[in-house]
Amino acid sequence: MLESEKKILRINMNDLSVKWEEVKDEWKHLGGRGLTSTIISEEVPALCEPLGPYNKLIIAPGLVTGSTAPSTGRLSVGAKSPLTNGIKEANAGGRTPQKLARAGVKAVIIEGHRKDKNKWYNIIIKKDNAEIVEANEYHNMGNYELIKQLWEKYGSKPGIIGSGIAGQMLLQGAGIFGNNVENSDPGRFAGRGGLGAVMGSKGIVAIITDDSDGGVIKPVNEEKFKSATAALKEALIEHPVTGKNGGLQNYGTNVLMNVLNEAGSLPAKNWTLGYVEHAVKISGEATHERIDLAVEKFGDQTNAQYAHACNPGCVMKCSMIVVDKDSGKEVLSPLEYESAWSLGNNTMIHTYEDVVELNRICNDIGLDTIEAGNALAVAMDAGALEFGDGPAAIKALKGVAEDTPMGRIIGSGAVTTGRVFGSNRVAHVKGQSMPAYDPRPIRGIGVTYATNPMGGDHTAGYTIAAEILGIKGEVTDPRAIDKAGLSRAFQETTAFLDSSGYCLFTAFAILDVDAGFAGLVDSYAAIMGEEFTVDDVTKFGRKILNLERAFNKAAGMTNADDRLPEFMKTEPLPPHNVVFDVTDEELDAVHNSL
Amino acid sequence: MEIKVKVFANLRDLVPVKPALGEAIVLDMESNSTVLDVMKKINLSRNDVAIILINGVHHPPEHIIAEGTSISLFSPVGGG
Repeated sequence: MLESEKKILRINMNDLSVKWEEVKDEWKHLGGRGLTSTIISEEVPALCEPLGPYNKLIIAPGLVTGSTAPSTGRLSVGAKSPLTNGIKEANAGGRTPQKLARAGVKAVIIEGHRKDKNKWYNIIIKKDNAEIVEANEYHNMGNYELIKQLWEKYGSKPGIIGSGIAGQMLLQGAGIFGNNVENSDPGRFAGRGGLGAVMGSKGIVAIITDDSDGGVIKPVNEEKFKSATAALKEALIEHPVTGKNGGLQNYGTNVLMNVLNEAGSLPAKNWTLGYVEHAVKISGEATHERIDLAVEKFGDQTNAQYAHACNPGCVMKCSMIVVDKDSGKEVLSPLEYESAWSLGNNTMIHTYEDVVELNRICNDIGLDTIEAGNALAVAMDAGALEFGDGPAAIKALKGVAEDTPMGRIIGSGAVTTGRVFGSNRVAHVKGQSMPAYDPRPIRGIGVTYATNPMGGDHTAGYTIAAEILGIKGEVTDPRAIDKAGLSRAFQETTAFLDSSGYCLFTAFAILDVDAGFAGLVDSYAAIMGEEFTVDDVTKFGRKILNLERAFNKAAGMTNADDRLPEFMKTEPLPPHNVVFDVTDEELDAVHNSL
Repeated sequence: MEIKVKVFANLRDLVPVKPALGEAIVLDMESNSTVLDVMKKINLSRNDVAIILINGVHHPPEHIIAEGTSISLFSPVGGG
């Protein structure tokens, strides 16, 4: 199947109808985030209530997703966010992205509200065939049990994504979960911005995708595609970060825990410390050691594994399977850096098993780990819980599914938690809490947090690659870098990558290896059979960013929303004892100078 | 002079004796030694090490270290 043969699947919950539509000319060259943000800009009223009938949930695989190109199994999910009240794109791997593309789906648009709020539905998607089926028996079911039951019911090893209990409760910290390749864990999350609640507001428990009758996405220009993907694959495999036995395969994303901690930039104790000695206990190195020990102890009786792929065909394999140390049985896949940091270091919980349990609860009920960890840390800072008290945090988080007041508060995110408990120290931008890099010592990422359209988000412009990790040349003093220019360049490139379906982590290799970058861009051009060069990447990204910023403006946002919270400008972060000192003018220059 | 060095990620498997997680290797160095001298002493080449942090700040391998310095070394890493 060619990319151009895919269709739009429009699902209307008002009358429970499904419709297959030809792709409009203006949408033809878009995929992933480029498409979700364009559809939202065209079809969602910017001032609509995010959990009301006029918001739409858009789900789109990347343009190259479903082809044979490496590391392209990514999905964009978009809507107006109930957390930020602005536009949102959240991105995930798992089984669904490639299956959706191969079932011939360019994007799913879910609109309207069901008439009967007591009815819940699943959506079953196959090639040229989609149906909405009643699913009350799955409402309020934990995600581990849910994917197990759906996997048995639908024999095709489908991709499954869904709203989770938190999303069905319409909590703003709810993400959209996805099953992993083995269907052993619902831990592949389009986590951020409360999109689980948008899906829940539509009355949808799960979307089940079966591509049995579909086919691989073929390029228009096969020869160009073949040489381009070979060049990219070589760059990914040869690079010391993304390649065999490299940092990502051996330690996962959580290899960053010790780097950021040693750099004095790892937020701890609700963003009051930049270094804590015990962070190492929940680092990627700790996971690696535990996996080695399990393999040594249990041999082939355990599935403990690092270098595990989050989507079929990924060559970087930064995921892993974490097992119980006494039984060797799988307990979590994966334990990501951001999750270990938010649920562990930021809460001062450094007992490995407690952090794994907190992450597993988030996966089971469908909560964004970053938002949940920040909410717990804010509650601790305000005295409602104790820092470092793992069992108390576990009880609080379990309270979401039990519908306790504390559970509802934590499940509603960090800003709501701060308001309830009277705390001003909430690390967020546009209502979305920040991830695992303190912007006081690392100012470029602070510029990204402040100015990207999504709120407190690191992936939208990952300046850390240059500021801390030394990708693209030598690491210099991060405080001396042109932050606005750096963040702008990363934001534009990212908007393109998120549209292509390529994993963002390809950037570690392609920013260092020019032939890899050219290969990635050429493969994108070859899929469409049209001219698209490296020079077009930032122009494309700029266009998407402009659309997203225009939506936010129409939703009521101004430059005043492109700011970090006050405490980051007044409370110095040890050990460097610096505040965030990028001026408002510099922040406004990121986008407005263009 | 005595200095401390912590090694992370793949570097833990390259040094002569694998240290426990987070544990510093204590070394006796000549005065005016560089980070590169320290790396050599624990069997690490310039190519093995991508990130050198001293007191949380990036430094080049040629940096001359003082008595009591604590260095953190990393192989190439990325994530997010």
